[in-house]
Amino acid sequence: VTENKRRRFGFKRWIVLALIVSQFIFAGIFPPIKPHIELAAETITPTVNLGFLGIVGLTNTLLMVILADLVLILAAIGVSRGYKSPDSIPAGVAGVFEPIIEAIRNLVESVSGRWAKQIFPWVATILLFVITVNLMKLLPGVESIGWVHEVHDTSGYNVQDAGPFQILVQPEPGEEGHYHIEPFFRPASTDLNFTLSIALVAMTMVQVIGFRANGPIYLTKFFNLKPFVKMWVRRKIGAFDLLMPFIDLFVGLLELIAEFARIISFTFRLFGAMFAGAILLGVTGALLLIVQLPFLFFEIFIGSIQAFVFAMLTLVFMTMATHGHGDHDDHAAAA
Amino acid sequence: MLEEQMSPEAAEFFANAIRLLAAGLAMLGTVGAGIGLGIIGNGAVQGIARNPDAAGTIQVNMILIAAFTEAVAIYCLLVALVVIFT
Repeated sequence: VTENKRRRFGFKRWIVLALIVSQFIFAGIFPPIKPHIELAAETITPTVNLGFLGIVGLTNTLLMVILADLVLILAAIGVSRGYKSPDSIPAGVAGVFEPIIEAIRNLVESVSGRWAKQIFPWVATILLFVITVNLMKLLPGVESIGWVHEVHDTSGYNVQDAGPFQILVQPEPGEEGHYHIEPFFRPASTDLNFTLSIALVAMTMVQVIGFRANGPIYLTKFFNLKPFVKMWVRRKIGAFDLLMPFIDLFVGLLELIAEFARIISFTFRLFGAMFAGAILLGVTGALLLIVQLPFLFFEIFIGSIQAFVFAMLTLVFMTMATHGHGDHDDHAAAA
Repeated sequence: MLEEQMSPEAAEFFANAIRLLAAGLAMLGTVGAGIGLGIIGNGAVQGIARNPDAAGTIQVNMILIAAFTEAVAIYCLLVALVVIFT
């Protein structure tokens, strides 16, 4: 027992120390290169031409999404195994996830009230998925291990053989490099397709929940024809009554535009923050060694905040959709 | 037009310089977002100081509005990045 305890006392710190020292040693042998930044995701497998679908291949961001899915599925299996019976004390991973799920549930219930049961799964899924993807960006090997491929402009690097692998090195000031790296794993949030797809799912479900809560009346939020009906029914019409329905119609159309603007804003907020974070980590990793550590913590913070904001905005939009359309709803209830 | 008046190297250098300048100008938009974030923080801290019980609600709302404001700065950053890297 004592031997085991002594080993536990000092073991992990030696791993950390060895990693720090090896970072210096490796940085001395192979100096880190300035990152080459590519806006679009790279295809890492041979491509297949699928006719009207275009040329399709597995991209590195998609691989990252699959990895994140695997992590979440494993966590889900762990949680389901953690409960022996419905009211037993959670064991293992379940103990980690219970307070998280409970916190999300409390938040959703405090914001959306009666519709919490329908809204909660979407908010929790988006939060857990986006936070997993964002934090997996910080794993070692992401964006640094991949195929070496040749380019024909002068922006590349030189290769250096190291056993069975090749390592890219910064070319000397005079010469030109001709090689780039296509990483196997690239943070999924730095691909516009990923953020756009989550935004589309979120905003589509906002409309679905709006319809479930209000029925077809929900459409009057966008195409507000009720004031016209009211004007038709009314006997005496003043000049102001003629103008108001058109203003209401215009406001409804603005609401419709705002829904699409929300998709765009969702997409670019997450993409921008994560892409800038990836560049920040790459540049600091190339220029500074130990000093990169605070930036890693900063990226943990930013990744979590962006995931929280995404989920929180989904929650707020869904709650707003469940609410009736102001005073018109009261008229509908009266009629 | 540029190629006619100067050598290709000079034209490329000039284009790169203009591109970097454009990226810098795009980041001017973050000034507004910075001011906005300051105002949001000011309001939130004052609200919490006057009513410490409401701190939780105020913080959640503050993060939400800060996210909206920050989005503007992120758009500027995105435009600058696109200008530089494509």
